[in-house]
Amino acid sequence: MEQLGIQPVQLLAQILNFALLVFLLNKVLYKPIVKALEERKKKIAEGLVYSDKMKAELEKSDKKGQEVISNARDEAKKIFDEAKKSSRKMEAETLEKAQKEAAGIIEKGRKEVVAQRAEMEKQLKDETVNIAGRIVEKLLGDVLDSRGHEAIINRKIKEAVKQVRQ
Amino acid sequence: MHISIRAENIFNLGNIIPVSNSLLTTWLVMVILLVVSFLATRKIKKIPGTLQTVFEVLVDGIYSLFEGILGDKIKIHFPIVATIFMFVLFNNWAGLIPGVGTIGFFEREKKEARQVAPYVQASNTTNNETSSAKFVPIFRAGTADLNTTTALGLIAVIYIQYAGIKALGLTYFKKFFNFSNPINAFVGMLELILEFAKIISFYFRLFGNVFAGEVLLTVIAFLIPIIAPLPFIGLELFVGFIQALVFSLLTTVFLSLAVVKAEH
Repeated sequence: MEQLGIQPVQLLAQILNFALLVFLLNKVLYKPIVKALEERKKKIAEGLVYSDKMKAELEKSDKKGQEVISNARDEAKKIFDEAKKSSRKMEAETLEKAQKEAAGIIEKGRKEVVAQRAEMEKQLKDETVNIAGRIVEKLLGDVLDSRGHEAIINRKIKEAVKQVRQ
Repeated sequence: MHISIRAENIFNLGNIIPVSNSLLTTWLVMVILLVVSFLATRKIKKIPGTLQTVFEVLVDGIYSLFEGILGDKIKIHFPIVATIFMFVLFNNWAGLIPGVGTIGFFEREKKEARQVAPYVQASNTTNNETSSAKFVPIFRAGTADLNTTTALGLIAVIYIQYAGIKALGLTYFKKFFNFSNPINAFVGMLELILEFAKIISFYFRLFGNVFAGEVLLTVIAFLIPIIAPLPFIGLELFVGFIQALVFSLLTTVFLSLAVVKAEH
């Protein structure tokens, strides 16, 4: 051993060196670094869990939002439909009313026209009778007495009225 | 050109402890490693700086590598095996720093003769001056000294026994002393021899690799001083890393074998 340079004192010194190094490195290097690494690992794991949770929450809230939107859309559609319906009803009602009114006016007008016509006819008849009477008087005054006169006139008038009526 | 197998003593500490150049280098490496580690972890930040990142990568790399072998027991054994790795790695690399092995002084032939230093001498036979004075470098890679590697081997093997006994109690010794039948008894004997062989294989492998690297670099630098040593320095960096890995990995593997019950 001596030939190879192994000296007990130096061997012991190196063993002590190593023991000291183990002790000090453990204190100065391994413990802090391993601790820091573990803490970081933990933090990353926590971060991942948190991000997963947040993702799920976001999805949930997204879904909720979508639901709210779709609900609102449905409601709006409902309201719109109702409004459309009621407006259509109103329109129909108004139209009906207007039609009724128009029909009334027309009826009234027709009645008036009929009444006027009847009156006019009556007037015309009276006038015609009058004129005819006078003509007959003028033409046949000498020939006929007043009784026969009147009978002829009345007969003629009836004929005339018949004609007119036709 | 002198290449000495043994580390030379350069001074005596209090006239009791002879300090060799490799011991001195080991101390320096330790101090630098500890100071840099301290600086790196003084203020641990959530978002690490450069130094902290480097050490985190180093420690985490070793940790996860050994975790694959030891499993949950990594927490107990990590300081030892990681320190083996760091100690061997940085001591190996210390030998490659320019100046280590080249800065030194000449010792008189007289002194040398008294010490009877066994060193491999490749001296120039035509030049008497080189043989009369021995060159002693101030620095020498810690792992290029058998004292260091033997210390490491002893620590590793003793720690493996300690871990085995701690994990299994007295049943740990069943591996070595099993007299249930002749075959088991013989296997147990072999196992016992193997434990001692481990020490030798540990320290000679490391010493052999590092010392051979130093010899190689010295010879190459002697033959062609410029550029030629560069690829060899790169090679030695790699070898230094591999040896650190081999030493610590073997320790880890033996540890993992020692803490489980023998199945034979």
